[in-house]
Amino acid sequence: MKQKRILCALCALVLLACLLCAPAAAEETEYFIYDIPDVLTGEQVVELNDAAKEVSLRHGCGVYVAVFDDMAEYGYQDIEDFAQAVVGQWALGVGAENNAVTLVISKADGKYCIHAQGATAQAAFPDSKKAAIADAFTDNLRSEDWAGGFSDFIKECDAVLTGAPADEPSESKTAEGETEIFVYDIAGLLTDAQVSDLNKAAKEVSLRHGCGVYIALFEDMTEYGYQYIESFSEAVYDQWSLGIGADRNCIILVMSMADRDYDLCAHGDAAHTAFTDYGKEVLADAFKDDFRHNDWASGFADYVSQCDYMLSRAAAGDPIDIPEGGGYVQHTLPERIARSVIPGLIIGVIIAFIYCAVLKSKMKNAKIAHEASEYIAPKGIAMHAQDDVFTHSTVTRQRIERDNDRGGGHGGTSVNSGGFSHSSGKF
Amino acid sequence: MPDQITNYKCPACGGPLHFSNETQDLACDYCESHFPVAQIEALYAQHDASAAAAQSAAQQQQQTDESSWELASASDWGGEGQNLTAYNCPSCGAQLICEQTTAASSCPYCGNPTIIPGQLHGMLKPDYVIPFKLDKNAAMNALRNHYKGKKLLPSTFSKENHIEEIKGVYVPFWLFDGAAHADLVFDATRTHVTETRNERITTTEHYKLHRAGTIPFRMIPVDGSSKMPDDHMDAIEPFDYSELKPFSTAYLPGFYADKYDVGMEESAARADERAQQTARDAMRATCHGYESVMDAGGQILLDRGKVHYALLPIWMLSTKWKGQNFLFTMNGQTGKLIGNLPVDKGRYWRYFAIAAAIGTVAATAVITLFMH
Repeated sequence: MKQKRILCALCALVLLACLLCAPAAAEETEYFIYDIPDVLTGEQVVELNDAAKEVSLRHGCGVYVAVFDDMAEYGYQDIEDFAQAVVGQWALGVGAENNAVTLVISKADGKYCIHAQGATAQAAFPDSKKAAIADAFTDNLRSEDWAGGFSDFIKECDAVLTGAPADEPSESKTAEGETEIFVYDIAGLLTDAQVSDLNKAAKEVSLRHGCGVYIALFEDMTEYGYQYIESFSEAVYDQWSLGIGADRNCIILVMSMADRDYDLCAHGDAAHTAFTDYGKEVLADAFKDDFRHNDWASGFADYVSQCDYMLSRAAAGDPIDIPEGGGYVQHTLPERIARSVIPGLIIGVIIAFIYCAVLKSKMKNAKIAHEASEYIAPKGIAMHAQDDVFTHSTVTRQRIERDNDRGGGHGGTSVNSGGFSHSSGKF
Repeated sequence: MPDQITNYKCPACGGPLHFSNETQDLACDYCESHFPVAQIEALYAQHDASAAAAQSAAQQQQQTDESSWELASASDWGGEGQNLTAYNCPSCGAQLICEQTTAASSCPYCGNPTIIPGQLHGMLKPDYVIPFKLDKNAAMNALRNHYKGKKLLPSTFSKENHIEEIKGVYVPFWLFDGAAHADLVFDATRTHVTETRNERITTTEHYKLHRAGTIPFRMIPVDGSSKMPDDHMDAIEPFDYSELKPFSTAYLPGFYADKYDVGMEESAARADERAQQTARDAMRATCHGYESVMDAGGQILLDRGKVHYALLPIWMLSTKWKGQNFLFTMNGQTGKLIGNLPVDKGRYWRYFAIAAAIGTVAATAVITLFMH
């Protein structure tokens, strides 16, 4: 009881400090459970705090619970605004990005909000995940089993951060410690049966070749704070700890449905060998036709089977890659000349037009004058005002198309400094 | 009829005097004497009254001597005659007809250079004159140089055609003094480009530039002769105004001289346009350090000052080729020659074909070499 009082007193001090706009540094926070209305016992607070702290530090993403009597006391009517204020003013979060998932409850009106902050947390807790997590603890809260509800919340968050769906137990791991989930349909494109079938096929191919074949479907990557599909793919890989084996080999098909972006992201030596830059283009061709007709299940099935074929070719020492000579058909000299004649003729005609226009302009030199700079008086121009006022600025961003974005005409795989190779586009 | 014909005669031998380009004075072709302009002006001022009286007496005598022959046709010049005038050559007596705007000419029978001051009555007297510095031969040389390097010029034009007429003409010009007060606003941009690993970020900074200033002008020339093409007269500029002389008819012998038939008010619009455009350009030229500068309003007010009337020296060379008239004009002071030349279509397409062939071969070779 004494511990609880101390904890509550500390919480009140923290809240007071926050109201005075003196946020504490996130990494210094030892407290993950804030029970202002005393719905928990002291032991429950300590126990839950330890559990939340362990999950938070293990995943690098703070898992917090903050319970209040009535958010109206703090001048808030909307629980989401209130949650935002609590997380912001208390400076909750872990790591450089202040990643945090926080359950904020206003007890008086029975409202709650699961608030995600930071790129990692936002990627891991899309709205669909939040809804699934909420289903897990709301029954307990209705029956005022606060400790049970908060415990479920922490467990569900742990499961999500581990990479396993909230409704699957954490023991759904392979013997090597990798997840058994290969299809993540956050966008809801597929039926449960389709997800199950695809997952089974992907798992079989992945385990047979020792290289994960993943599908991750999202509604809109910008919801997670990403502008480019390649960066988003790498975040998905890192945050969901995808990959098989020591090298965490895998190929991931990441899709953002809002702008119909896709990316084939490979990681690990085995994946880079099997999925060369050219090979990724071949792989994309296998599913893009289906996607253009919104035939998702067929496209993903083609993707998995093409991955299987390409991994088999790589295992046989013959990965799919562009042919010798940089992938371009080698033409003979007469063929090259023949192919150059038409553009050469166009350029020649343009040169001739310019040349003759210059010659013709020399034939006419009688022109009306429109200015009189020759007649400015010797004392010259007297300037009375010369003001330059900055009004505004505009920014345009253009994606840099690099050779290795499209294979670059050379064989092999272009791997970036993070160990990833990509092939992206629109479907 | 003009009131008076002036034929400057050599005080030494009585031969006709003409203005010399080289010595810039009046020279006699017969005894090779040279006389300063001021000396001849003073001499002739004394003789003007008696010369006018003698002319009047001669006319009266001519009237009394007229016979009573009946004209076969009683028709006169009608409307055409309004622009013409007749005078008698004081040297050989030939009666000559010229345009009313001609103030100096020469007799086609005896070659006597003549000034017709009566033509100028009722009109402004020129303030200035720039004497001819270059002669007919210089004009011919300038024309030959003008032909050089013109690949599209028909060979028959330069070889076969002959200059039909070369005449030195003092062309009337209005010279406008004034100032332009510009108060202008420009929209300008400056761009910075930075690159990250994935994207090129272009930041465009927008500025509003205010420029105000006064640009004084001195003697913007606009020709006052409707017979002279404006494009030729504009292109033939500039003249060296340091050689402007106070007007004297003594500079005219040996050349044609026109009086203005386009008034100052009519010519002012062209001077205004040139002053305003120059003021706008001058203000824009002060907008340094920007990638783009666009007009965004403002005004230019003109402070119109004095207008001078001057006669400026022009050599006119005219020719006909295949029924088409070609006019060349040369600045009689600086030697700058202006004139449009005909284009030989055959040559045009021949050069086009050669350039296209060479360009095509070169471009094809380059593309072939760099094709993977």
